[in-house]
Amino acid sequence: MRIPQSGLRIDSAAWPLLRSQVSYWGITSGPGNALGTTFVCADLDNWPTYVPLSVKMLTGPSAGQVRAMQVHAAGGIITVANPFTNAAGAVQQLVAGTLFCILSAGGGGGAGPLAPSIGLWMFGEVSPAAPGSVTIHPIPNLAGFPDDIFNNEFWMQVIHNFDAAGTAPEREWRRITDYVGATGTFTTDAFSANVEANDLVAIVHESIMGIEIIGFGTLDTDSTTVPADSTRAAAYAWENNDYFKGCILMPTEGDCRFQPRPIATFTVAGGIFGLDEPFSQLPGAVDYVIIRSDYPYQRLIDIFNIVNAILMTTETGGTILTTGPGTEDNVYINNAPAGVYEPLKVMIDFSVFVRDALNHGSQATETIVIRVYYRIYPGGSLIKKDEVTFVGVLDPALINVELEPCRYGIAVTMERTGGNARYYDFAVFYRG
Amino acid sequence: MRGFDNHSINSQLLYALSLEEMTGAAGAQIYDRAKPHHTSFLRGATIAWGALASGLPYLDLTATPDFIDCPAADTADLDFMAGDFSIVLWASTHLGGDRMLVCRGLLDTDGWYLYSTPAISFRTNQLGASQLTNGGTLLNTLTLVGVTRILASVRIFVNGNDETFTTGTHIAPATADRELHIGVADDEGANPLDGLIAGGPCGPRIWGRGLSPAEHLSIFNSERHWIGV
Repeated sequence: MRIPQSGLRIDSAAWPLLRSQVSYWGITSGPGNALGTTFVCADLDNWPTYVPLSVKMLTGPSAGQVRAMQVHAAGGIITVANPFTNAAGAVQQLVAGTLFCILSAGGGGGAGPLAPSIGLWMFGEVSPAAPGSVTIHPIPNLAGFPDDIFNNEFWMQVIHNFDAAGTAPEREWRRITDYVGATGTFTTDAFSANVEANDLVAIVHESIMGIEIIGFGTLDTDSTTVPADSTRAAAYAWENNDYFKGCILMPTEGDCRFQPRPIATFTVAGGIFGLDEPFSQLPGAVDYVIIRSDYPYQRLIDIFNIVNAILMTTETGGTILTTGPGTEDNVYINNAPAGVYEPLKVMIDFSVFVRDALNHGSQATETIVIRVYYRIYPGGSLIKKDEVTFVGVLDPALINVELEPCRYGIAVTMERTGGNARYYDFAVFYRG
Repeated sequence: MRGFDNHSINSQLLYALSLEEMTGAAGAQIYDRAKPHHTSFLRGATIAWGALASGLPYLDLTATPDFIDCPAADTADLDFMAGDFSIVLWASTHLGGDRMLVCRGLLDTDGWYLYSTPAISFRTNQLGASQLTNGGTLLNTLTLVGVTRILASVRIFVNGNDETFTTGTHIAPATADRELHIGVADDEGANPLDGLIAGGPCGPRIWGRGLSPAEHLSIFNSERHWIGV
């Protein structure tokens, strides 16, 4: 209710001065909120907005306190920048019947800004009455903005832990997921420790965070290597396969929060992110952001593929016991290579000696047939390419079997057609 | 030319099966690409071979049990009492419960073994005692399982990541004169893997040194395209 309480005569010398300093003189018509950040005067709806002028309480426990007005909502509900307090320093709810005046100081011509200086970053103080929470944070000086205006694209950083400076959650960043304007209550992804009364926070828009967020969403397939958001295709029709190749996928909550991982592939069907390196653990079905990157992923893949395709010279070998006539023993077989490779040679030792009580090599009585087979058609048979018979003692005793490039299969066998079962050392070299 | 032994990851590689034979049943010899040339044999009645879509060969070990057997006389260099060592293999299992991956030891007796419960677990043993470290899980999907033991510390790696969640203080295992088994416990009957063991460049490997976390991750990134993960 607007009241004329000056008590001054119209011709008083003080009257012009008073009119120049006070824009409105009133009494609250209902209770403000419990946080002490609003007062109610229904008559204010009948006048032009006085935001961002200052209001001064004249009676009650907060008498004499001045606060900047931020928002004038329907019903004459005024939100101020900081809560009114009492002699104990606690927030003070403003009850109906409290006298106040709106000072003419502050502001200027035209509509005021969305106070207090809403912008890409803002400074907040957690309510002195806040019980402490990892997710729910009442910040009265940031009350009064439209609900949800900070959701998702604003982040909160605790910049000062009031009662334990330097300890968690100080310096932690969390994404804001909900905002209630009437109380200035922010909901965030969970901090590692409670954000408590009087803690100082920064509210920062993603555009000035030093990272360029080009996408966001919620994973619905939990995987360390191929997490997915199946809703992307419907929400962002322009995205095609490998749209995010080389960008960074980063969960904003859960066990993998803030783990950046380069995206190697993106598959529209299913919204599958193929990661270049896996998360350290399962990320969960959590919110994520996609960060632009200059990571030269395709160039690295090109180099990796070239290097990977260079065949590596490798050796294997062992000792084989000849079974006997009618049985070809595999000296070396690669029955279905994974791809093109280059067998180089098989060397077989025919020299006569005893090792670990095992008789090695070809004596005068032995006859050994060496055969080489290749498969040159997928699923085809191994076809004999060469066959050589060795009889008796050999000098030189080391036999070389030269081999050809191969893709579908190769076998080198030996069959003892005469003599006794004896052992033969062999070595195989190939590039694969 | 790239030489196998010049490739830094292959430094001190002691055992490396390629499983490229893609043929052979019980008793068949399979080849070791590592320099010591451990002789290994296939065992079991229902052992089977297959290839992934990439062409990579694998060995399908059933609960018969099927397993790979390296004779005790040929595995003295895998005794690993005080020395550092590492094990890596791509494996899966169709079953729950305790499933043996690589074994050269006996509980509370001697040696060491790597198994899944399905938590991937590594145990060192001495007479009347053992120490356990575990982490990650092994299920019915080919997964890169890695272990690094450096002094008393053991770390478990899954698909290149350190996923150790319970750590033991590992005493040097007591010397063991045992066969090396892949896919079954020391008695050749208990804890059959009943799963796949990938081969080719992704075959089972054992090093006589402790692989670093970066090396485990490098192995995963170098080989994952063969597996399709």
